[in-house]
Amino acid sequence: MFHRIIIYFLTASLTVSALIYFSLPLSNISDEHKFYVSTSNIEFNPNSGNLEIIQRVFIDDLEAVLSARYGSKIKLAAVNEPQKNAEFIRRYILSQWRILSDDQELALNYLGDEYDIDQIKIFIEVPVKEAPKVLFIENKTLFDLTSDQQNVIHAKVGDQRRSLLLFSENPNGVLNFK
Amino acid sequence: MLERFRIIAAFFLAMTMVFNLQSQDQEPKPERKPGHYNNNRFKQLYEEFSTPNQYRSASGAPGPAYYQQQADYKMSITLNDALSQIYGEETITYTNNSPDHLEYLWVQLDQNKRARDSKSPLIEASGAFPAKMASSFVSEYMGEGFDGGFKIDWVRDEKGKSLPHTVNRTMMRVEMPQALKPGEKFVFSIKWWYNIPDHTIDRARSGYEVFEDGNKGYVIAQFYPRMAVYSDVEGWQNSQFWGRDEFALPFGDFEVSITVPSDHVLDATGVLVNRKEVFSKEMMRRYELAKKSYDKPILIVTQDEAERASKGFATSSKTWKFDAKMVRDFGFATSRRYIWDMMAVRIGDRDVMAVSVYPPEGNPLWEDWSTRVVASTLKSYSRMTFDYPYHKAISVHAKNQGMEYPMICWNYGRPEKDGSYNERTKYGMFGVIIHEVGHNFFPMIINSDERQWTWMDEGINTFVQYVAEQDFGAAYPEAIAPNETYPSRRGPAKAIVNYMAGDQDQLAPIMTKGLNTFNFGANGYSKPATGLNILRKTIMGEDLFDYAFRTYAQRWMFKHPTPEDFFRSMEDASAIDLDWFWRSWFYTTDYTDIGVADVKKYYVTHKMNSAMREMMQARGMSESDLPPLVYLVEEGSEDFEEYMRTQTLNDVVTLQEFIMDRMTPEERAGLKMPKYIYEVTFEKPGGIPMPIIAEFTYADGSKERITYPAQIWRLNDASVGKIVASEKEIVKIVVDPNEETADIDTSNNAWPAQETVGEFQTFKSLIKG
Repeated sequence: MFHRIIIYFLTASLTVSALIYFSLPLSNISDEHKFYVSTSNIEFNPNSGNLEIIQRVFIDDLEAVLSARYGSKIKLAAVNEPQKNAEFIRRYILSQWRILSDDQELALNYLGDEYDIDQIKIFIEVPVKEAPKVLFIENKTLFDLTSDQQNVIHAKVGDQRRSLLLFSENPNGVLNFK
Repeated sequence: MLERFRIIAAFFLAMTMVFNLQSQDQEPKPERKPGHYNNNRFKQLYEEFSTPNQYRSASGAPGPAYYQQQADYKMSITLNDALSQIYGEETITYTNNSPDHLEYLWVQLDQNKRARDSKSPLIEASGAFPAKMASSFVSEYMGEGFDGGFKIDWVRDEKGKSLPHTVNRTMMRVEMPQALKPGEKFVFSIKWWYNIPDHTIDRARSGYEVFEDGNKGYVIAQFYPRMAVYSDVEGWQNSQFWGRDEFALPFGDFEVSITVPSDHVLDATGVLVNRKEVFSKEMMRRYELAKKSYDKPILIVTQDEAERASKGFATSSKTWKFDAKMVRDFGFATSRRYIWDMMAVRIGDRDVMAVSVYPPEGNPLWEDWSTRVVASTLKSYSRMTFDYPYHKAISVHAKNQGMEYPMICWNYGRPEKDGSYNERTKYGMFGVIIHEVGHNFFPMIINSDERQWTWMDEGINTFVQYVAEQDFGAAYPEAIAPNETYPSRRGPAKAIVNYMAGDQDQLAPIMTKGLNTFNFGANGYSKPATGLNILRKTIMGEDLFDYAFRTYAQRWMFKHPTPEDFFRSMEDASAIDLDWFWRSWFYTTDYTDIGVADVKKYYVTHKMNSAMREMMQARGMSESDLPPLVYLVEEGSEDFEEYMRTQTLNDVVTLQEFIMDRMTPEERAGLKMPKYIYEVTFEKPGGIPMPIIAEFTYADGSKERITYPAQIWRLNDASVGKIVASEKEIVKIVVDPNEETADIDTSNNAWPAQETVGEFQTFKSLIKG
């Protein structure tokens, strides 16, 4: 059992990390091969007074990172998905986000997630009461797996749109709204 | 009657001019703006496109002096399974069909990307890492790295005399005794070998995979020194192979013999010419059956046989011989652990063999679906372009691979060890097979320059892949159940919105060399594919698009097209000027955002309105000086009176008199009676001038759709007004109701402004139940 776990860990991490560190990344991307990008849309909902976050992450990347962190072979979106997977996902994702408004750390409310072909959509709600003027956003999702990971943040408050491109050397940024 | 109209028209013109003059007098003189170039979004692409010439016509077709070079290969290849090395001797016959004298030839040495002195890793930015596999750390920082470059033993001319040659990384210049004149041939030979990489470790496009039982599956490509392309557009395409931008290769005929262990099976580009020598009698019998099986694959090598062979390790060898005509490349796959199946598929008036080669690790997914997917793909692509001209198409299962060569490709999609698989694995496998088999058309036959233009093969191929996926879902509903249509990831306009709405600093136009783009997948695959889908579904319509697309495919079948050849052919065969679309979608990072800014409702009346009254007073005129006029009164304005709501055009005296005086009863019967006049102002915060697809919903619940062509934006890029005369009251206007234009912000798409229930709220209400 132990043996198998190690083998899987090596294979999973190798395919991903080798890509990044060992040689040229993404060399056989002649097909519609995946790219190391997650996208998060953050929108302020004036009716509820919440920031609404939808984060999209590739399932196989998430699988690899959860397997590495929680030390067992984790297979997502399987036919009979074990209950504990949901908890692993929640735990991991929440630990990668930090959002501050006016120097106040905001509480993140993880609503749930759903699979969408090869991606997982994660829904997070952040109560802020009124439209934020300044948002500090940190998202380190999958930076612990590959330094090639980019997390794109699109934020919208009213008519104003701001974007951030986060990567491992630059895991956070500040967005100003009028 | 005409005369009367002229008077009225002249009157109005005068009024307008007076009004404009007056308003200018009142305001301070504005500062004069400087002049400018033609920045119109509908300006023709004369500056971006190269000038048509004898080689490439303005129509987008090959010109009368079009030429292409030819490279014919005779190769003898040996695989050493124990050492994972490959050795080859090849003779290239190069024909100079160009009008130019060539002083030297350029040969591509793609494997040098994996040489120890490769510069590929040096151009990748790197940063500190929180954690790294020990093995990666050792190989990257402590060892010399894998030695995967070409070892060139010699380069000789026809007589065996050594030829001077210079290796510049992934390119080798071969110098000839004298310049090669137009029409001449040059024959030379190269002897080489290299260490085959484990493609699962460093993600090579080619290499081997070690199965759990120790056997290897080889998927071998860009394995021999290959001629570079010499053309009228690039001269020699000797841009180095850094690892990302793929290949540019001339067509030619191949005679290849490959020697592998005698217990291996092997399939490759080309016709297997010594089938009887390498097939057992039983395999021949099954092969004959497969040639007549149109509905299900027939196993040539069964799983049982593959597993039995896997237990041995032959020391003897066997040579497989292939002939391939008019191919731009050659690839092969071999292992003792391969299962092999085939079925026939009717394409036009010929039978083509759909083939799959896979280890037992691929089952049950591969035996169930691979060959069927290949067959379905060939049908779809043949319909969209031309009948598939080769005699077979092979899908080889290799872990994590997705890579294409003529007649053969490597594809991922591996079930769990217990044979179970999830939807993601299944659709990943379907999608990648369709995509890679589709590459037979783009770029293997419609031979664009991949090194320069990723989108010309990947983007166009991903577009046809979308069509083929939808076809496959319709042909095999059991394969996609419970979905009703194939869930394509790329193609639908909506799927590109996130990318196009992204940070402009991280976007590059499609017309950018792939190596220099930020988000390669979205830029080279999804965005061009989506653009073509929008052209097909929304802008041109399927009939006009498909005819033009087939024209392009057939014009450039077995030739080397450039982007302009595609753009020009699409316009030439459809009579639709698409320069504005190419400009915005391919040459810029602009995005679509169109909305409804304002809607004003007017009533028609014969009672003079205040605007007119003011003008009359200013000119000292009275109503009796005027010809009969009709007036528009905005609802809620000072001229508006409640009775207007219930009034019809019959109550507008001036209009009624005019109609009675001028028209016959028959003509009158045919008149429309619009009761409401709306002035709708559309806004365009986005750069792309898409058509305005406006859906009007009337008070009685009925709907009507009007599409204003993109050219409505030609004189005003920011907003445009449109009068809509309607017999029924309009209660709602929605722009792009089916989300087919990749509009990045739909919050301004409806009037009255609509509370859109977003994805987030939908999910929230779902979990609350």
